[in-house]
Amino acid sequence: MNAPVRISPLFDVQAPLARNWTTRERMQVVARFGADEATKRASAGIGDLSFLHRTGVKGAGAAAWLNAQGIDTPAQPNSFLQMADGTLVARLGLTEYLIEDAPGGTRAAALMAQPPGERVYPVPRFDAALVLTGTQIPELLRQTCAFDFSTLAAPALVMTSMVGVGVTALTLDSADGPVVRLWCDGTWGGYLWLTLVEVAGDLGGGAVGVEA
Amino acid sequence: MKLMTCPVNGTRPVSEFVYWGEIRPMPDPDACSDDEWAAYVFNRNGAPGVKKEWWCHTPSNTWFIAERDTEKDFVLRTYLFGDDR
Repeated sequence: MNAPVRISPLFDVQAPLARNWTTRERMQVVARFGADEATKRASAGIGDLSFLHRTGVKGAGAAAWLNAQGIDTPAQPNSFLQMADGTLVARLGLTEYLIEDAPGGTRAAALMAQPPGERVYPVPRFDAALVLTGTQIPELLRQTCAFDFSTLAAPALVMTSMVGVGVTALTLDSADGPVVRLWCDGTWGGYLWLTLVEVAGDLGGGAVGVEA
Repeated sequence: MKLMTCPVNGTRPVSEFVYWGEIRPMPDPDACSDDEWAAYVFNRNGAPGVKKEWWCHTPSNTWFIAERDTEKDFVLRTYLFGDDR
C-alpha cells in the first residue's frame, strides 16, 4: 500500500536530473539531485513541496464553513495563517482560501470528503508547490519577477507574475534566512522550476531534493 | 514599466494584467430597434477619451473596472464591480 500513487507536476523535468527518489505522502519525489545540496540550499535552493496535500474552497459561505470544520481563516484578503498543527491557510481573495496540510496532515482530505455547505465551492488544487531558500533568494526574485519583494515585510502573501507565470508567493523569515513558498498551476510548474533552477545556478544554487 | 493598480492586490506591472475591452451596456434585445442591436453587436467606439474598461489581474484572477483616458493612456481610477460610487 506504500507504492507511490501520486506524481509531481514537476516529474518530467526533474526525472533527467534526479539522482535518488523517495516517497512522501504517497508521491514519488526526488530525494537528492547531487552531492553539494547543502551549499546550494544555503545560497539559492529550489525545492519541490508538491507532495503536500492541499485543497481550496471559495464562495460567500467559505469562511463560515471552514470555521465550522475547525479551520481558522485569515481576517484580510492576501494574508495567511499557520494553525497550531502546521496547517497553512491562505486567503487568496475576498472569498477564496487555500488550505495546505503540514507533512502528514489530513485536514485537506477531510475537507474534500465533506459535502460542501451552502455557497461553498470546492476548488481542487493540482499546484506545483516550490520552496526557495538561501541568501541569494532576494537576487533570484529580482531577476525573475517585476514585483519588488523588498517592499514586503515578511511574513506576507502576494499574488504576482514570475517569469510570466501567475504565482501565489508567500515570504517567511526563518533562522536560515529568507524562505519563499510558491504555488502555481501545475501545468506551468515544469517551466517555472526549470527557469528558476537555471537562474539559481548562476547564483551558486540549484535544485535540491527533499532530503537535503 | 507601465503600472496598473488592482483594487485588491495593489500597484503592479501592467504585464500582470489583461485588458478585456470597454464596458458596453447591452440594450434590451426585445425592446431595441434592429439598428441599435446591430450597433451593439458590430460597432466599437474607437474615439479617444475616458472609458470604463474591464481589466483582470491574472495571478489572482481579480476582475475590476478601470477608468482610463485612452487619449493620454492615463488610468484615472480602478475599482471592483459594484463599488462605483
